[in-house]
Amino acid sequence: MLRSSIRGRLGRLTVLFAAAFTVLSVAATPRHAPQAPVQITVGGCWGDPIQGGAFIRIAESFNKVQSAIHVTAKRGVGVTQVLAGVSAGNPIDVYYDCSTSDLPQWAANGYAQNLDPYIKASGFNINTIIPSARAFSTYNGHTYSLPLLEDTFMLIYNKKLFDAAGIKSPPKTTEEMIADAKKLTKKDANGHLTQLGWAPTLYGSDYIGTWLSVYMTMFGGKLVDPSGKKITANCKECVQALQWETDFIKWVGPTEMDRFTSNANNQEYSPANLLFTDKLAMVINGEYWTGMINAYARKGFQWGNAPLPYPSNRPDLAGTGVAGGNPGTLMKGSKHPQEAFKFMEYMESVGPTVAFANAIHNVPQLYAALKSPQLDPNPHYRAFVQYAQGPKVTSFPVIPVSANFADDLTRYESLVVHGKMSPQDGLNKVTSDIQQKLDAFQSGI
Amino acid sequence: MQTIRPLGLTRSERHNILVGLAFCAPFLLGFLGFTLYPMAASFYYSFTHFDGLNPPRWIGLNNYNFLFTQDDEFKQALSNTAYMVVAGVPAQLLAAFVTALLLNVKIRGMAIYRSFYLLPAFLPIVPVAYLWQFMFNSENGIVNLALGAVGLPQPGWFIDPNWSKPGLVLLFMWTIGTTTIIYLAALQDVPEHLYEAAELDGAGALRRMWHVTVPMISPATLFNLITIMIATFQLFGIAFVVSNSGSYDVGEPQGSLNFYLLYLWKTAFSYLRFGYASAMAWILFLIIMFFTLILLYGSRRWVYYEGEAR
Amino acid sequence: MATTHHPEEAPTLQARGTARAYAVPAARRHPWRQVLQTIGKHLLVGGVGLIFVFPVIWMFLASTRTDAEIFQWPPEIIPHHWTWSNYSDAFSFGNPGCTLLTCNFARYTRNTVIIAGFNVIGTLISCSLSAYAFARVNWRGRGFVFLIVLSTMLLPYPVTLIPVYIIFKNLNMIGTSGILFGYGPLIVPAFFGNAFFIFLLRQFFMTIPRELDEAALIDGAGHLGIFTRVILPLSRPALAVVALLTFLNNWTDLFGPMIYLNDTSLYTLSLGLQEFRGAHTFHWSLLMAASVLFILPIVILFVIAQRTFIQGITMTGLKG
Repeated sequence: MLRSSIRGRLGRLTVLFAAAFTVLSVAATPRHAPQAPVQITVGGCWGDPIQGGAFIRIAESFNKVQSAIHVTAKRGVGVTQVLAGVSAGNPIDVYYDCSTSDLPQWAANGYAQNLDPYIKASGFNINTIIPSARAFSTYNGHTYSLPLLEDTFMLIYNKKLFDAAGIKSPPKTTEEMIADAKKLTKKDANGHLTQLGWAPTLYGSDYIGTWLSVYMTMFGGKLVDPSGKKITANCKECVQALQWETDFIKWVGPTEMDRFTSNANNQEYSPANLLFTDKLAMVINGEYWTGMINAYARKGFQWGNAPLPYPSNRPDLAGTGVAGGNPGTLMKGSKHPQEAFKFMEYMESVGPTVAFANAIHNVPQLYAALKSPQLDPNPHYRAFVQYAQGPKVTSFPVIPVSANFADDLTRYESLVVHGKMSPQDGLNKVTSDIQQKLDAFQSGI
Repeated sequence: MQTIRPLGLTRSERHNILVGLAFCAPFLLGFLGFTLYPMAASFYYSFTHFDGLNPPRWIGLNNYNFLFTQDDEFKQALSNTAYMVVAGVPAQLLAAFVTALLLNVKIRGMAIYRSFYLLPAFLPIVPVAYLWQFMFNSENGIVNLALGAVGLPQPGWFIDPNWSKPGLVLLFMWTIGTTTIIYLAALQDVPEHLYEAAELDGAGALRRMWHVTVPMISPATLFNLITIMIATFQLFGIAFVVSNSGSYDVGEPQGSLNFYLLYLWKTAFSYLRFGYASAMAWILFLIIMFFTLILLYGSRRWVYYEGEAR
Repeated sequence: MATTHHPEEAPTLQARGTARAYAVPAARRHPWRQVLQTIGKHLLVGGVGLIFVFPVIWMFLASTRTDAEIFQWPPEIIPHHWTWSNYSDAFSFGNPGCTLLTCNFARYTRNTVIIAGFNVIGTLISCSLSAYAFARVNWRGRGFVFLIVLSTMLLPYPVTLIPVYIIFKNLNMIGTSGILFGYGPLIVPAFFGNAFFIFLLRQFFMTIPRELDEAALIDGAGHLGIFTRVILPLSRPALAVVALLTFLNNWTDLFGPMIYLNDTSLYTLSLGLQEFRGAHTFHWSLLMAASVLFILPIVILFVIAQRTFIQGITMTGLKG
């Protein structure tokens, strides 16, 4: 009868489906070996194959030197992903961030763990780390990160374009830099750029999202007052810095500059990089460009890296530097914090540090590593390393709303340079917004 | 005679209630757990500071206060979303109507043509967003190259804050397949004799459209209007992928694509401010309810239902 | 269902001032005119149609070019060489040298199929059961509960988003590994009904004649029996629509996976596609190839089951 045949068919189909999905599901569940070592997951912000690959290689070298802990390293891990894991109670154990503006906020909110007890228990010597790297790893007097390498920023320029424009040496002052940038900017008959001297807002995501705070430091501006309770993003020098880049962008034309650099972000780590293809003459960026140039630029590409310029009326600011870097945090809710810390200690030792520093051409954060004979002798790289150890190196403000601060600076810088508001107005807005958020945090709201 | 039970229900009535409840038990349980409880919970969260890690902390009206008085980005999100509703909804309705008209033409091979028009609506959002970015690339995209070849100006599209939303509107006009289907079904329901009568009265094609077609499909228009409007208020996926193009923040360029749900998502999952995001969710709910009710109420004027006296 | 009417060709497309009702339309008087009209219609409908389908074609063409050629002008419409390696490169992206089953892309596809499959099963079961309650069981309070069903259709999802997230977090189902717990948030809700499909199925069930119910009743069947023996078998078209639309929804979903999945081995295709967009590099040709692979099942399904797609939309649309 119809009934039973439908029943039979339905029944058989159901069983078939159930079997198929069970098989698929079982096949998808990760298998665990018996008596397995403790599994920890570590994430690195580096996404591209060269840097990300190096991170994975070096992080997982930990598996070769001991067998109690097994590390799985992932590259291209973003901040949102990490926080999502933390709030869901399922974080990765250790994270190496590419920006220094997250750590204070994470520490203040408890997303990253205070490492003091771990350091004390294991006897790790925190003084092997250079002060500039410790500066962005500390909050409220406690250590929240074991940093993995440091960044420093200089003026990187294309020698061929400089020679063609008849510029003998890199600019020393901020005024010279603009003058050179203008000389190096060419447009065709339709007003379209064929060559750009400088793109102030380009590649900001290499640092904290924007270079504005670096420029402010160059001009002697301070984002926060010494007490850490008052935001001073609208200080006179800060506004000067923003005005400086805005004037140049206005001179070029913001729309035209956007158009010219529209694909640049996606091609930074590639042979099509604007600097390598002689389309862009100068960038203010970090020492990792040494590695990028080695990997992607044409043979015989001539370039230089010079100290950051200073305003001509402030020669005392010469040699100012900014330290970026990679804070390494133990995330709250990690299932194996002890083992995770052991891993972090390992990465904080000379061997892995030097290996990684050479692989991605970053500045080592350990005294011993700085002195290591294995460190790459490339003169450009060494110039960066030297610069990073200068006396006037600062880092991004360490306040509980540091991430919001970076975001606001990025957002309002964009509005200002596109002519939507004046630099003073823009920075006033940033100041009042972050001050409010800071006050709210302090009063426990 | 049936015995009347204390609750006023007969035994068979009680039995039926049990059966009914049993059959829709999955839905009811889901409603309690995934709808009713979360609604109450999010309403509660909206008055707290909550980061998902530590328990929620009561802060009263602070979230709402901040949203309405201090939050510039919220205002930006509102205005961006309003733009999409005001400009995007009519554009999509029009596109759906025109394509439905085209698909209603009686020619052979309509099945093939239909698939051209309808397919985009069913494509996944991630590839579609990437494809649009690719085609509308300001330097090398096929759209600008074609515009340039005929001497027309080439806007920056997704790198120009003035053109990013129009670019998005074009995308949504491309994917209105489902709306077109509804209009098409409505068009095919319009009785033939009305057109003939209109022609007898001397009406040309355009007047027939205005006086016969449009009123007769007005229920479909109302349905489409409300559905598209609600969907536009909750715009997220495409904007997320398109605006996150390697620059630092979503909602680029310069926040022109920072829509309500994008900002809500960022608040919740980037800044871990669940309380604040809950407040935003409730405000959105009220906004949508408000406009839906207005549309429904105003619809009595212009929606014509078959069988009603004029 | 509605009868299909097409407005007469001649009167609609010709802007004639007056037309005597029974005059022979101009087209019939001059056959060549009819041919011209038909050609014109094809050009119009087909021309606009080509504009609609052009992006998809462009996506395919781009997927067969190298990164260097992809942006050249004038673009070669018919490429003189096809870079099919883009497909294998896209397939093995992030894990070069992987075998067919271990490649990331294969894994993402399998994950997406698993999630979609479970969702289809859960939706079919829960929605048909609930729809039956509203269509066939005569119980006090039915109207009220049905109103609740309808009202949930109007609820914007952000309102429940965060607490549902917290629920799953407390159940340790977010960012976890393993199918059951990792996919929990993406699969479990499907087993609790979906107002949209409950509505659709209820409308459909109501069109099934009651006499068939009575036949089953005589055989001694209760409600469950009627449901399984009468209603379900006759509802294949509607169930197919529900299954198709559910599958489609899940294949293309971005939001759910983005929020609930943290482990890349559990990623779906929507998330996996984002990997092609690194922070500093962007492989357009590979991305287009991966996109083609991603949309291919949809395109095939669409070509085969176009009617079902359309039915699915009209079934819910017009009665709303």
